[in-house]
Amino acid sequence: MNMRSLFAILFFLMTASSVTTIAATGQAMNVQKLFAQANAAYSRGDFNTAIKDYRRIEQTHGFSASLLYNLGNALAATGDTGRAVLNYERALRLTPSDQDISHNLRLVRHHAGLYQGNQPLYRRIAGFLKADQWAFIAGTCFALLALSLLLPQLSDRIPAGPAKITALVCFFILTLSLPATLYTYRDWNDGVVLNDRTRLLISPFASAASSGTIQAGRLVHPNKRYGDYLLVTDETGRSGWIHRSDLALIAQPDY
Amino acid sequence: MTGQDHGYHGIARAIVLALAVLTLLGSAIAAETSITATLGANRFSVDQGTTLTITVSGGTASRPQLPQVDGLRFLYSGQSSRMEWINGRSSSSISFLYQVQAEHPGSYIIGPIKVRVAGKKLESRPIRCTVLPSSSSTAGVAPGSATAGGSTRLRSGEADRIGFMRIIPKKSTGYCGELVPFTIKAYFRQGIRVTVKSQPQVNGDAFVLQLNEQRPEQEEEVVNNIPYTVLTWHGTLSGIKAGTFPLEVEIDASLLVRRPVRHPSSMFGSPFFDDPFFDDFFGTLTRKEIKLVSPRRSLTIRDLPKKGRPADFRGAIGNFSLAVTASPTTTKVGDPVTLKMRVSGTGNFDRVQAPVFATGPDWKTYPPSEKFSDHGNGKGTKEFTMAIIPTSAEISKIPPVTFSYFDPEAGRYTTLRSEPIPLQVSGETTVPAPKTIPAVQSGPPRSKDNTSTATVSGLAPIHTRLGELRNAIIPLYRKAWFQAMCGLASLILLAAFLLNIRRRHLQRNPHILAERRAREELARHLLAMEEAVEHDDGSRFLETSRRAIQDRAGQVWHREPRSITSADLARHLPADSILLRVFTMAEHAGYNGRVPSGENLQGLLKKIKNELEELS
Repeated sequence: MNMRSLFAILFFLMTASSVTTIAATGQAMNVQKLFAQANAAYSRGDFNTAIKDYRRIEQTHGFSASLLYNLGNALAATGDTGRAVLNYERALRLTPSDQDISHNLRLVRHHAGLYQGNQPLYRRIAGFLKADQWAFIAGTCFALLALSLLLPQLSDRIPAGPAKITALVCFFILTLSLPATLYTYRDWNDGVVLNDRTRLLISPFASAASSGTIQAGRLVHPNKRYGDYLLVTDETGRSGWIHRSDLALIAQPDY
Repeated sequence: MTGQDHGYHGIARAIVLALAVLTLLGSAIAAETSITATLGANRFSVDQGTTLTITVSGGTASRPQLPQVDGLRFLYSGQSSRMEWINGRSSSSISFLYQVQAEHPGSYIIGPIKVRVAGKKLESRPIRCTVLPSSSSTAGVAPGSATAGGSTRLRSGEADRIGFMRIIPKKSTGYCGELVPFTIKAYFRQGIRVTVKSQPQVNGDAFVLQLNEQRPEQEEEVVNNIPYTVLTWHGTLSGIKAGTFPLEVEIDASLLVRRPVRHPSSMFGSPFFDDPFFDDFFGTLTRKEIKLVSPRRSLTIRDLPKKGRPADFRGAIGNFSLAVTASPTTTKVGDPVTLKMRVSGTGNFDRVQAPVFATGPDWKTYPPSEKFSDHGNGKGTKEFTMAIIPTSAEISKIPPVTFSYFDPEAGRYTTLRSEPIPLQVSGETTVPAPKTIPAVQSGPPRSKDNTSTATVSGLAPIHTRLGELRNAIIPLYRKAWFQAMCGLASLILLAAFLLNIRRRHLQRNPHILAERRAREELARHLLAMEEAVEHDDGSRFLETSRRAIQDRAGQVWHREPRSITSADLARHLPADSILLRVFTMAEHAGYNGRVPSGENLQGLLKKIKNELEELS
């Protein structure tokens, strides 16, 4: 390969890299512009336009916690409780510690009368934090426990007493957080009922008798699937089959 | 089998049944006795006949005494028993079935029918019936006359055919939406191999039919001295529009029949092959699809009366009770109270809607959710759960809720009203906040219930930074960095565990540690010896050599190194040993001052090293 060919290849690579970078930057600017445009529509009370723009970003570029949160706000403002709850729940999966999302979710659920009723103690304790937060605590405690056991073995300069106390504390937190992690991850892929007064059926057929109705925004745990129907249990313990079009799974945005 | 045999059989079965019931249930059985007699149809034709069912509840009974009715014949066709446990209470009943046949058309009165139950004499009410002339339209088709290819359509009322079918509604008139209990019976002659391929279906669109159980009860009955296998379904039907409509049910079944082989009977002119035995022997089994249809009967459906209809009537029809509970009964202004309204009873629960809660400015309410528990036979419980929020601290009770329904037995509307529930509300009275955000409806159709509020106020503001975009929601435990951290921590934990095992091993075996220390000391002294040789320092060389010899000897002989003297070495080593010589030289150097130097040191170092290594 002579020098001329080498230069030609280098020139081609640099040009391609520059074009890609420029395109990516342009795309990012477009997304930001569209996001700002949707926010402006929300601010002036044009919620339908805001929803349309937020959804365009979601479909073409993906989603972020802020996008889902804003979309949830716009949907809540139009009275679409089911989809608002769904987007808040998704946003909380991405940033579980965001106070704005938690606040608005609580408000929308309260406004729609979606109360959970009395929960058993273990469920209330597990509900203090989200699944990822419990997992982070458990993982960190596990790593600290391992280090506090290893370091005194490696060096006599590290005092054994404080290391033992650290190990004990970490072990204690780990034994608490691990069951909470496993328990809360059971709900990771729960669904949200989208349509108000969705019928709970006693069997997975359109002609089946109804065992009651379920409100939009209710969280349900899918247990089984048959054709287009899912056997679900809601937060209050009621169970029945609902059509999959009446439900969206939180952790599967394109479900 | 003679009629007398049947009688003995019946008595024996009744005794066994009675003993079993007494043994199992003992005194737990509710002892309310009653007798009811019903006809399958109050109007039937001479050639059809009908069934007479006499049901005795609350005890064991002998065969009822049937009255003599001129022109009617009663043929005993069997009996069935039924036991139920509901909420710990049991009930039992025995039904005696008779085939009623008329000799000529006319009006008849059957009854009263007498029976003795637990020493008590019971009598049924007389039944009036009308017998119509023979109707050709209800004639069945004999299996032999079935046309080849299409499904054979058998009409009921033909006891001497393959089978027949009955639908016996509890009443012949009803209201729109009222649940009318019925019994469907399909009779198949014993010995015929039949497979039922469908559930009973009602013909026409005037009725909705619902079966209590998908699987029918199976029993045997004798009709006109012919044994039948009887499949029985129980359920309810309801009329969906007013008028008089024909009621007819059908089921699909397949019949296994032997098709005879046709052979030329005069082929050899011998009567041998004309024997029907060979027809049966060489015949092949084939399936024939048949459809069993019940005789058509009519049911009159009436509209619910407009007179006396309560304003809060929402279509419930049946007989219901209402129970209302609230929790908590001590609350704050703005906090929800859960109101549970339980409607129980018998009737069409599809038409039962939530009781009416009288809303006012003091209450904010939400649409209720509902849960239905079906107890079968039209009985059930529907529970409505509703969130209500007091907006005033002056509230002292939850107002009564009302529920109106139409009672078809009584033919009038009834309104149930719950008692007010005392409630303690603390806090300040709130004024509903003005809606700052206009309600814009979009998405799925919303409930038209005006108790459902439109939009939410007080939402936290939107975010202005978009953040990192992604395409999936991945839980933390599936993220690579988290998995790597947990993997690393596991390795660290394993290493700590192994190190701990090693340390414990050394603690249990201190000589390993001592040997190691001696080896380290020896290495240190050898190094010092080399330095002494380098600097041509004879006295230091001797001193470090002495210590090296002591360390090595102590290590080999398992003794304290500093306690080893030249006498010890002389005992263990040969007289010409270089170690002994150097050790003695080192001891004497202190007072005679003679130390090796120059090339001697090099030679001594090499020899000492060799001998120390060989020392064992």
